[in-house]
Amino acid sequence: MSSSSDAFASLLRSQTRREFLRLAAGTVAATAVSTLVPSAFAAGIQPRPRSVIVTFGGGARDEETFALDGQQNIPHMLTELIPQGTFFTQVVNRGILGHYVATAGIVTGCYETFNNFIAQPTGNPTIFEYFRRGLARPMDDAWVIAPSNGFQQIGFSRHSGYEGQGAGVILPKQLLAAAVNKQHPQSVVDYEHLLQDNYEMPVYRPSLSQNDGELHLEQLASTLRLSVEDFTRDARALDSADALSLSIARRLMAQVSPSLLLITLHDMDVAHAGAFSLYVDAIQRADRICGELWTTIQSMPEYKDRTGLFIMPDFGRDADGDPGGNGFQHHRTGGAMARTTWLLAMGPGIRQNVTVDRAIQPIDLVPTIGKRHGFETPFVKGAPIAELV
Amino acid sequence: MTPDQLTAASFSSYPPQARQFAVAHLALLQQLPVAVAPAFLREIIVFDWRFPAERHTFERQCVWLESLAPDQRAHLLAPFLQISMPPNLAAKDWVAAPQPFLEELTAYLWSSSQIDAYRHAAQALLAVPLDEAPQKDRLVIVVAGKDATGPSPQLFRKLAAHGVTLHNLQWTPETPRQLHATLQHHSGSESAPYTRWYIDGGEPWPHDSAGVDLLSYAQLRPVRENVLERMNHFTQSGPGGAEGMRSMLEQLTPAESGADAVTHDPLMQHFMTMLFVEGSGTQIYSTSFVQWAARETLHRAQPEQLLVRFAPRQRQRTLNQLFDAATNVEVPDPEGSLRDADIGAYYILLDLLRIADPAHITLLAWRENHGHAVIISPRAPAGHSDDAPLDLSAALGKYA
Repeated sequence: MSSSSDAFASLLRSQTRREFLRLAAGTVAATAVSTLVPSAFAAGIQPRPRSVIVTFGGGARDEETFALDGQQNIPHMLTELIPQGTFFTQVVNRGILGHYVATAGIVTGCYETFNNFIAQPTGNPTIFEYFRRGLARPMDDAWVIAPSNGFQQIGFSRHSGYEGQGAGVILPKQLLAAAVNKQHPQSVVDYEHLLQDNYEMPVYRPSLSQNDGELHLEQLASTLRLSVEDFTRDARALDSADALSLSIARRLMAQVSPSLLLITLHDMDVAHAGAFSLYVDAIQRADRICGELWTTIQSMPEYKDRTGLFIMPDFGRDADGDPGGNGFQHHRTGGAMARTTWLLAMGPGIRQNVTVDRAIQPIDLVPTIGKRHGFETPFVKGAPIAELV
Repeated sequence: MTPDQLTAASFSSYPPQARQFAVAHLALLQQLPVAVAPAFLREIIVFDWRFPAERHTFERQCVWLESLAPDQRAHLLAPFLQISMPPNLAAKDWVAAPQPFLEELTAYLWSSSQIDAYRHAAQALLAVPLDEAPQKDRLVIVVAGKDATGPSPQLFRKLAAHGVTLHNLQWTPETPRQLHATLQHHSGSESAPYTRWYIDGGEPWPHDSAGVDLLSYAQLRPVRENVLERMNHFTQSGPGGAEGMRSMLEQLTPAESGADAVTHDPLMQHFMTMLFVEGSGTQIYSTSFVQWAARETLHRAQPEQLLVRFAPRQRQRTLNQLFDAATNVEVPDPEGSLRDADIGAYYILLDLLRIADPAHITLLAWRENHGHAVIISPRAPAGHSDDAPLDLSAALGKYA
């Protein structure tokens, strides 16, 4: 297949997806009327806004999500969430398609260029730093829940102008491993399904030094205010690492009520192992988790009616027809399907039941949230998304 | 070194046939920009372990480039001259070790936002006109669903759009033997080496091994466990990154991987080793192994007859446990494996269409122990279904 036919097929798929959304959910296209809902938050009319960002830190393709074949995998997003939000059908990632470096791009609003496989702070300031410095917020007001210890440094940048202004980072698998090791080291097998690791590069393993373990246990007690016993008991009932992340997010929201929260779901990156059913199962779990997270947001007075929820895969995966890849398994070709994904935005000031077809970029999210909250984002390369500010 | 400085002596460390090939095409290699010359050398340096079909394909690529008028060739190569790279990378020994060079170059292309330009340039360079030699008819049979018991109404849906869905293809205890006999019959009495293959995700069915190249997950267990052990050791010995692990595994010889104990054929030894070195997940999931092995076989050996049988992979566990062959207890997941095989069968069709004209292929995908199948061939009308009771011979007679 030629690249031009791939591009044509991709275009057709995109049109199919948009048409379906309009037919199924009765969504309308945002045109001139979509425009700008005045930023009530920034004007000080509403209570202090909150934002929750969910990234799928294992790319998801259109085929397994919003394209015709994939819609069966995302019933919660399709029937519950999209009717309440604005859906952007074309989010094009022009950066490096590696999960850590791409997530770093999402939180800095700049395409980062460092080695994806070496955990390191970003070079550009993060949204957490912009937020805390711009609005003089304490550290407890910005948090990251990330899938593996490759992400442990994503809360802070190396930028000299923002020292000490970053977010706390919770690594659920590390936390659980520390708790289980403290309680019953021999029972770790009971939790194996919650300790899934990085699938692309197995160097990031949830192995713990004694010091790491103590830090995680301190986080468990002081931030989440959970005993080791309660935490491990609750974890036993969960079915996946992403479900563990949701559980911790709920606890964090209940105990600390951060105004800015990033959660990266990661189970679907099992695609790298080549087992399609495991990849699709993980997408279905992510769909369920997104639905439950929105329900949680609406059930908490601290969050209800003042929280924007932004759901976005960090990028897609390779197209079936691209001879340079192996279909869903990887995101190595840099082809259109690997670069293109979507964004679902919900919350106050965001129009409901609307699709937007114009292309945006993942680096547009930081300036968008900055504008919604009223803080400056001076180093970003993206632009505020007009439909959301 | 720059490509125009290449001489015959530059390839003195290459294996004999690789050296011979490089010298024969030296004038072309000297004209290639440094951004693409190592990609050619990566193919050449393993020439001694390549199958006849892929040698032919690569040679056609080179001969075609050599046949172009100078300005046409310059036009195709011009985009590679625009690729910038840091001096320390360009100074590396890309002749003796093209693979590590290309790994570093790839990382640099991504970080410098040149990957898309490189990709487009490579696509144009690889657009060799079709081979005008008569096409061979190819028969591929994919069997999926061993031990799966649940209904699967969506099975082969992606394939169904391209052929006839058979709802009552009669599977009997004789079917495995008949499948092998069908492939043997299709190949005729004198088949060339590496043209008839059998890939099995578990224990292979009994068959006459003459003229058939076998890859089975059971047969290759020592090789994959060997690779797993090395991966496990690598991850425990500290950070080295994906490139580091890949480079470590690339150095594996068939003797180190254990492939020399499986077969005496050096081409097959190398191929078997690479299936676990280059394939992601092939070491832990049999369904990933079967799909990747089928892809690589079609791409490299370009078989005329291929039987592919998916078998249950082990269920999902943590990567750490899966990597530790010594403690990993394999519990099968037949239903999930059937879903893996479903997309795998579709990918096999796509891989087949990359080497063959649709007018010269027959692909039969069949659920094991069930009557549900899809047949794709020039005589099978796309998107149709057939409820008639058919045995294998009748189905092939009707549609193949």
